[in-house]
Amino acid sequence: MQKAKRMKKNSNGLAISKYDSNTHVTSVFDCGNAVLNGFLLKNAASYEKIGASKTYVLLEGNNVVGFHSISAATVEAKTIDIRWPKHPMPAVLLGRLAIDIKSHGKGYGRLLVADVFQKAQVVSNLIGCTAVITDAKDQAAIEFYRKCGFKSFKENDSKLYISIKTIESI
Amino acid sequence: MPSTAKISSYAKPKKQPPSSLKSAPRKQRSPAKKGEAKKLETIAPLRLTQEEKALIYQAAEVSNQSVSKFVINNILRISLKVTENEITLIDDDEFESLGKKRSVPKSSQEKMKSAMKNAALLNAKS
Repeated sequence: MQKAKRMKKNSNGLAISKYDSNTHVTSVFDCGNAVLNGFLLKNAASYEKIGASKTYVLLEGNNVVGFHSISAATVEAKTIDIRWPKHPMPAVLLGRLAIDIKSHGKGYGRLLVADVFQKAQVVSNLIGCTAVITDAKDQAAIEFYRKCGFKSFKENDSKLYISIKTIESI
Repeated sequence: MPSTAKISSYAKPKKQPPSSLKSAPRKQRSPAKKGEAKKLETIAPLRLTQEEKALIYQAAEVSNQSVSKFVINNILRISLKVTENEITLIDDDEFESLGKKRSVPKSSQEKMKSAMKNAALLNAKS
């Protein structure tokens, strides 16, 4: 409850926007993970150009304090029943999510996950989409996603999903 | 209990070479250039039902490929997709659960609800 109040207060200077390498300042962004920092600096714009993924940034003024990157993915049944074939299920892949070190603990990560949920709901109203899936990089990330409502797949703890139906019930 | 058939049991009828060719000397293969030669491996025979076998043979025929080529090409394609995270393979229960609502712990639900409200406001601003 306290966190939610703090979030509201802080949200005045915040905005979520589609990443624009020309206007958004990323030079000071540091989430503590070189790969994720590198993605925002080097790859996000080119991925956007070719349609491989869309990156959305959390802004404080023009400074990027967090981002997430989403794309389309499919989930397939491991076993194939000839009589009852299961078609691949479309899903939204939350490929990358990162928050600047200076902004950790403010609830921004949850805010960006919530943004992904909303975008997935919009997508599921336009085209088929059954779930949001993600690949957590470490144990802390797994715990974080579980707190956001994700559940691990049985065979791989670091692969998590949440169905659109579950998102709708939140 | 489904009957099983080995995919490796299929054998094309051997073509008999014309008698005129029988005595012809074998053409010598030119040696592979360094780095070009790839050693081919085999995998253990696969056990599958007659229905599954028939489906694979039919699909190979439709796509105008030999059964080996068809199986290898498609398994490689799927393997690449799985390893590159383009597709996620899950078991039947999980597959069914994709279309179902699952209960989220109340504490998480409250926090996410509030975060979703905030996210909606921030999106409206931008």
